Amino acid sequence: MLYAMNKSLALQASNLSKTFRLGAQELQVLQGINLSLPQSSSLSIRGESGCGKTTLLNLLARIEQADQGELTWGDRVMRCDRSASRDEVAHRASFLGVVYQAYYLIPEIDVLENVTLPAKISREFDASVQDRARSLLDQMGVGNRITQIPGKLSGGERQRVAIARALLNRPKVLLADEPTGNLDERTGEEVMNLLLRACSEEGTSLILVTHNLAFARATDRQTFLSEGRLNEV
Amino acid sequence: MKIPWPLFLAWKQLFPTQRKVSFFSLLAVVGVALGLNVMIVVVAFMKGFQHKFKEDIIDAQGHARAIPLSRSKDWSKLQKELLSRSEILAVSPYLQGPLLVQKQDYQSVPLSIGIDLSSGPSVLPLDEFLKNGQQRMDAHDAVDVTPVPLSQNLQDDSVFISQYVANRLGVRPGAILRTGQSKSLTDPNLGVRVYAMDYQVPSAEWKLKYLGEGEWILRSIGLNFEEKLRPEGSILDAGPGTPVFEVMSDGMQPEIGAESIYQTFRSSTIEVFSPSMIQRAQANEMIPPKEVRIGGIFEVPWQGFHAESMIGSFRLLEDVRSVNGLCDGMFIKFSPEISTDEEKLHALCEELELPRSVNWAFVPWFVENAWFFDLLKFEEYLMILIMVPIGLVAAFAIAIALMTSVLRKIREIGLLVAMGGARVSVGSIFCLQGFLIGLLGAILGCGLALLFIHYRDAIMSFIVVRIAGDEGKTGVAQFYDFYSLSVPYPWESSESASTFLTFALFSILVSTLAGLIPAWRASRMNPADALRNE
Ligand SMILES: Nc1ncnc2c1ncn2[C@@H]1O[C@H](COP(=O)(O)OP(=O)(O)O)[C@@H](O)[C@H]1O
Ligand SMILES: [Mg+2]
Repeated sequence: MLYAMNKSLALQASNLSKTFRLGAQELQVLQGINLSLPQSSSLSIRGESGCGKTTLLNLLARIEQADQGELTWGDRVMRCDRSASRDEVAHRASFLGVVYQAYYLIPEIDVLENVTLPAKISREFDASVQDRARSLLDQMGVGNRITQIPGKLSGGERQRVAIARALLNRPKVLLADEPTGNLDERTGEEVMNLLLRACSEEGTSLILVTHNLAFARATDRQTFLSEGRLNEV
Repeated sequence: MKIPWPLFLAWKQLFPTQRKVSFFSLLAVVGVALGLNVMIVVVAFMKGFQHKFKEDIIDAQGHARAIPLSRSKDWSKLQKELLSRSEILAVSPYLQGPLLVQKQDYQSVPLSIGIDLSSGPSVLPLDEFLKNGQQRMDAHDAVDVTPVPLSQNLQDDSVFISQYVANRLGVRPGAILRTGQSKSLTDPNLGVRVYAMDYQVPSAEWKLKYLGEGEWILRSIGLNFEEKLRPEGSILDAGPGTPVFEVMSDGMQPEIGAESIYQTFRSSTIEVFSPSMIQRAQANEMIPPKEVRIGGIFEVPWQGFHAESMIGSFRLLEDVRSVNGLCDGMFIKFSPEISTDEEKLHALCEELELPRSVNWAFVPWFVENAWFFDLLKFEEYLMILIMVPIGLVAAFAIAIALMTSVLRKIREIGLLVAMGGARVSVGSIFCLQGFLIGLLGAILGCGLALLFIHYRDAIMSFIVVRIAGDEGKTGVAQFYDFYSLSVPYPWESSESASTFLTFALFSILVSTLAGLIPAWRASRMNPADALRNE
């Protein structure tokens, strides 16, 4: 279905399934998801609350273990029925960026330190990182707040910082889980526009989970998740 | 700067950007520091006491004793043999045993030591003992200027007795009081002072007068004594039976005709009997008692030394006990290289003993007093045993605080993993926080301990005055004697350094371990669940 024969895929998933077990009760959230994302493209996922969008992103990020299925990050093929290896975790630091509805900034360090943290984790921290972080923050319109601590920023500003952080390591793919969910309409729009522009400028592929139809339409392809299956609309 | 990111985050959680410190880390660090400070100070003081006792014991007994196992008369041969070794500085034979001493109706049975007058003072610091035992007389318009008796005051017809014996018998050594003095002699730079008081000086009034041109005259009307003197060096000595003076005039001359007037009091005599003399007296033999003079009163700081004791000459004890040619043992003093190292001292004593083990035992001071040091060590270990659980309680507090912080930061933990942080690294943030708290606490605690040791007298006085008041202070100080306690700094003694280091490492280790449980919790967390956490 969503197989594209394009050779330069950023990310590809085949037959991903996930079942949660709560005691005797079984909840099959995802049933054989297939998905392929060409480089520098964007894809939106909509769906009702609790239909498994976050779970799907977690599987794509190898944060969570699937029941079955296979996943390709660039040219790295991984089986998803096991937890991520150390190597995969380390690779994730440079391959993937993540943005969540709640911003998850580290409160004890300032904005610049938050944004440069991924480079420290992926051990690519050098002098150029600071400059890159600054220019990303400029791009996100919060270049004048770099010495603030997150606690003093508004929600919109925090999400801009979180996006800059997600993009710092020049990831191939950015996973954004309802990034505007906590923001008012106007601010959400601003942040979303910045996110989309930054991704296309950086050449980063984007998977965007959103409830907002207008935002979903701004991506190259739109999908809808229901009853464990992903359908293109 | 390439510090690992878990360390960076650990540091930042303790000392967040734009805030000086977090309240938690301040409390934790100060807590560790205080605990460490107490441990170091207590142990350092215990070691100080041990050192003091060690010195006192060595003063009272020498580094080791050679004890004859049979009544052999070959001790002088052994003495020569021992002295020929380069490690041995002095060997002094002694006789030891109870004697009965008597003054009129008062009696005492001091443990008596007879020491060899030539070699004894090189092993036992008699002058030190005499200084501790000195007492001044109270008098109206007269000043007690009796000098501390010199160890030369010990002769075959004189003894040194402990304060206790002196009080029991009501006897005292010779004393000299100044009853008058010309103005020009009161000047501390020009005057004269009594330098020594021989035990044979009779009771009399003395006048010392300056005749000019460096010449003095010492006169006693009652004794019909008169002698012109010139200082030798700065000493005016008119021979045995007279007080000896020291002239202080520092190139300048006192006024001609200036004089000082003194009153001397002859030292008391006591009668000495040995057990064998008493036996013979019981058999109705006529035994003349041995009469000796009090040369001085001594005080041995080592509490294990008999309070009721007497020091006499070897020959005096030989004489009253009629044990010609025997000795009860020999004090041995070793070179510092041996004496400061207990293992070497022990080894050398065993080496000395081996070829003559039938006749002689060589007992180092710490073997002889092992019971006492075992007691002190026991006390030290007991203290540590009490303090270690207290330290652990502090560690629990740190563990709980870090655990709460893990629970507060569940979502951030999930995010760090989602950003590609290895779980072990994420967990280590909390372990490193424990380590940093321990490290900073150790530095601060060692600093506090140094301050405490430096100002120990002031601090102790402050506490003691608070408890006992100003009058109680001297009493308490005497009892605990903390003023004379030597508590070395870590750079002065390796023992002190190892105390500091051991406890510092202990506190670092314990607080790192305290971070281990939270770290384990954090690293076991499923990142997906963590991110979902509300
Ligand atoms: N760890 C879990 N254990 C059990 N059920 C879970 C777990 N995580 C998610 N779920 C369930 O899976 C479903 C999908 O959740 P989620 O992916 O968060 O939905 P969405 O993001 O689309 O709102 C929900 O019904 C949720 O209750
Ligand atoms: Mg969701």
